[in-house]
Amino acid sequence: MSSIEIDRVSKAYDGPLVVDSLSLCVPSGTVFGLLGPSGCGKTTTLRMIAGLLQPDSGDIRFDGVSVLAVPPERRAIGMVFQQHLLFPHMNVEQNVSFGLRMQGVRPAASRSRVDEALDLVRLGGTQRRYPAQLSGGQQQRVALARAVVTNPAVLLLDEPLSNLDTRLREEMRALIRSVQRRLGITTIVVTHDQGEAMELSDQMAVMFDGAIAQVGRPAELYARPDSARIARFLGATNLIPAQVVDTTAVDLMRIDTPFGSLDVCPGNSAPTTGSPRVVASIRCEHVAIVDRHIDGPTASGVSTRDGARNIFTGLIDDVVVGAGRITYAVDVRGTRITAVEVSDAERARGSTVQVRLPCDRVRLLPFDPDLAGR
Amino acid sequence: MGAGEGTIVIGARSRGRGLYSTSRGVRVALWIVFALFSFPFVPLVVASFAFRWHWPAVVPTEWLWTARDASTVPVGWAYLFSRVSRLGPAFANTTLIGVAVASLAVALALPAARVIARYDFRGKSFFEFVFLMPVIVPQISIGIGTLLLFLRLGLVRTHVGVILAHLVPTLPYALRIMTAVFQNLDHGYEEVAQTLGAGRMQRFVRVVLPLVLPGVATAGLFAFLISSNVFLLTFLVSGGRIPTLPTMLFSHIESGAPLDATTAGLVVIVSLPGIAFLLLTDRLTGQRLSLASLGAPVQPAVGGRR
Repeated sequence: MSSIEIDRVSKAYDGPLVVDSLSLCVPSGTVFGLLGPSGCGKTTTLRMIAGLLQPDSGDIRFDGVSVLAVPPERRAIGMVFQQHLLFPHMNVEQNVSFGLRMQGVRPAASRSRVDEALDLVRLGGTQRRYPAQLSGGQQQRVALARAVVTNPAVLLLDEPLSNLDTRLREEMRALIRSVQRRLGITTIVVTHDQGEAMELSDQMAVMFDGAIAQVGRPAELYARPDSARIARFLGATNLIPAQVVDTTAVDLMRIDTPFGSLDVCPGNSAPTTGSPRVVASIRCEHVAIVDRHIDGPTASGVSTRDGARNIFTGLIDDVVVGAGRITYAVDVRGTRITAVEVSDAERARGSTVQVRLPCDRVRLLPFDPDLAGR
Repeated sequence: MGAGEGTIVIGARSRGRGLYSTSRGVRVALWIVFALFSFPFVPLVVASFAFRWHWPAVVPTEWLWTARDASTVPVGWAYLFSRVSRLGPAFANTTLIGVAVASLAVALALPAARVIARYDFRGKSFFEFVFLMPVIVPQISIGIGTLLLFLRLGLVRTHVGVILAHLVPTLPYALRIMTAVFQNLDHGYEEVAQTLGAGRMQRFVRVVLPLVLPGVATAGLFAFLISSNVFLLTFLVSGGRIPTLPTMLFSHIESGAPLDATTAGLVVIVSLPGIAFLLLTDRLTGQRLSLASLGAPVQPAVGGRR
């Protein structure tokens, strides 16, 4: 188990910087998620940690010792790629034992370790099978067993689930977590799927354009993003352009939006919000829909003081029924507010409802001309 | 032709376990193709057993075994297998040169193909063109040029000289095949092996080589087939001193009797090394041979040989 430090690493492939002076610190034994859209440099970063790419500048340290001069084969890493890349000419046992054989472990000793690793990924008994005889999920599990059987100090996962279907993906996530907990390997997982990153990581970083936008615990990032771009990348949210009008009250702040003024808790602003021009972000699942005839906020079980604020009347424009959740697009004086309800009682399209934007759920973010109003 | 006959109905009459089974139409078509390909061989084989076979006759008028006792010298197969014919040395030369050429061609093409498939470098297209030249330029030009060069180097009339000369027409094919194989080989296999602790040599021996083996076999097979068919280069460089099956065949045809039993038998024998080599490589690599030669992704032989 090693801690990993990335110190102002930059990389370009004949052209603009793909990774621009990136610094990161992953404590020993934890899972770190590197989340970003494709082309943001996350895979390049991972490949530099593995040693498959050499940074143009900066340093990478395992346990405080620079590994830049160490080739991948001697970095004590295990890596799982997007494709399983199991050697097609070897059976499962030969695949999993490959790393052990490279270390010179005797066949007798390696056999029991292979069995252990396969049990860990719940594939005991498949030793004699060939990769092509396994399902996609099994192949990726063998790839995981192959990566961890050598007890690497660092486990690197490069989009390990993106080639699997949804149900397998969930199983595999749980499996990766359990394997990582059992072995306690410092793990970095690169993904473009925010759900995957959030579920797998202890700490995660959102990366845009070769640089880290924000680092933190997943829940923290989700609830308190620093920018509209991060907020939207981490999940469905309403981004409303707004103007801060009143900051005099101690407990509440007033902002003007295209559909009326909103009261928001002053503590919930991104640190970089300086100007009064802001973007208010409220997650779709935090928007409460109240039927018009149910009058009085006590009906939804919230305190009168808070519940009475930020209620607006709108018209349901669109209804999308998902698995156990319904998404409504509500037109509030020309602004489209998206609300998600965990419910199976569908409201009719065209009906008039009231939406409530809870004060403490509205986060103020720096104004972003590209994203406001979407 | 009746309705439905000859139409290819995928899935009808499912036989094997394949995704698509062959219908009767497909099988009939395959037999027709087979017949077309093997047709020229039939009269050859018959002729090799004929003593007299004049034009309008559909079958030989006199067979070898009836004429054998009348003849004072051995004819046909008997002649070929006698020491006088010198078939043995020619067969040995052809096989030896062919194997040497095939091994050398593959050994040279392998690293070159890897570089061409993997990297972009200045003058790459120029090199690719140069590597293809021997296929475009007439063999007589290559032959004369090679002869002039080899005369200076003292390689004329040596096996080494013939082998080197044979590399000229074989290398382009070997290179082509190997390049396609490397283009289809996912570089990720080597990377994953590297993260698992495999050094350069181990990656090559344990991962790359087994995966490109079908391609290597195909390239070797082609090199062998071409080598065992080359007449002109062998003739020029060997100065007629190193008999191979093609040179022997040509001298037979030259001597006047285009299709007597001996020549026909010789032609049959000329095609034997190639067929033997094909069966051998096919056995070595299973079904992967044909796939790799078509440039399809390298597939493992599932459940086949263990």
